[in-house]
Amino acid sequence: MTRDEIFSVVKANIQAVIEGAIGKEILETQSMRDFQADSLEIVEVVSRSMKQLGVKVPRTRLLDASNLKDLLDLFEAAAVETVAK
Amino acid sequence: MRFPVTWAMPDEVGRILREATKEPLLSAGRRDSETVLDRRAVLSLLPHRDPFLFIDRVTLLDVEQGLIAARFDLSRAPEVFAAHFPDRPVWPGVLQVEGIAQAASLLVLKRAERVDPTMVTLTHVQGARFLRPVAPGAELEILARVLDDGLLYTVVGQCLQGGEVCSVASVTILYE
Repeated sequence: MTRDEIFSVVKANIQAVIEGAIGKEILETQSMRDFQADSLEIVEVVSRSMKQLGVKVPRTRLLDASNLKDLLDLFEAAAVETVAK
Repeated sequence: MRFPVTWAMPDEVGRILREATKEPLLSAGRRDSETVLDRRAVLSLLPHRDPFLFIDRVTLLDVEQGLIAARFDLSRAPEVFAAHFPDRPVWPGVLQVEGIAQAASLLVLKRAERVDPTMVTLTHVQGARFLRPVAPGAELEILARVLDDGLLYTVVGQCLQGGEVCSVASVTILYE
């Protein structure tokens, strides 16, 4: 799974869950907070993305992600681990 | 203004919920087994305490399939029936939903690698239907099916009395 593919899944979920992101360009440098997401909406985006990507990242590690780039880094690493298993 | 899709119930959950209004999630043979978690074990896993603990014991715990069957003796809560309602005692629907959430939380905690009862949070109630009144006097049977949704766990649960489905509900739980 490429980083672009992972980002496509995350962006689709952001558009589906966060009203403030609808119709807007979403960049890796942005945070979901930039679209006025509340904490539960962020959890929903991450949860849906993890399920669709077939990866698991502990919530404690997700707390370290300050923007979408950090989140994609975590998903990318988890995807590599999943394939390795 | 568009209504966020996050408020909509996933198709799979809606289907299971509709089916759950018709018959128990588990056959009588599967749920009428011996106690697999007693009250002490329940207290060691759930943070809830009386008068807001609505699970006495667990009779089925299938972590692999995400299924749990639990019981609550309604005679433990006479004060609730006395107040809801004085002339027509009925076990409140919100407490039925709470019981389903507590049963599902037990399952989520049992499957967790690191058990921390304080990290279980109820995040959504997608829907509920109250089909029959739950009367005082008998045990309440609580069945739940837990679907792993990434960080979240989506639950379809039922409350039964005398083998009859009295309520169904779908809730979501966050753990960690």
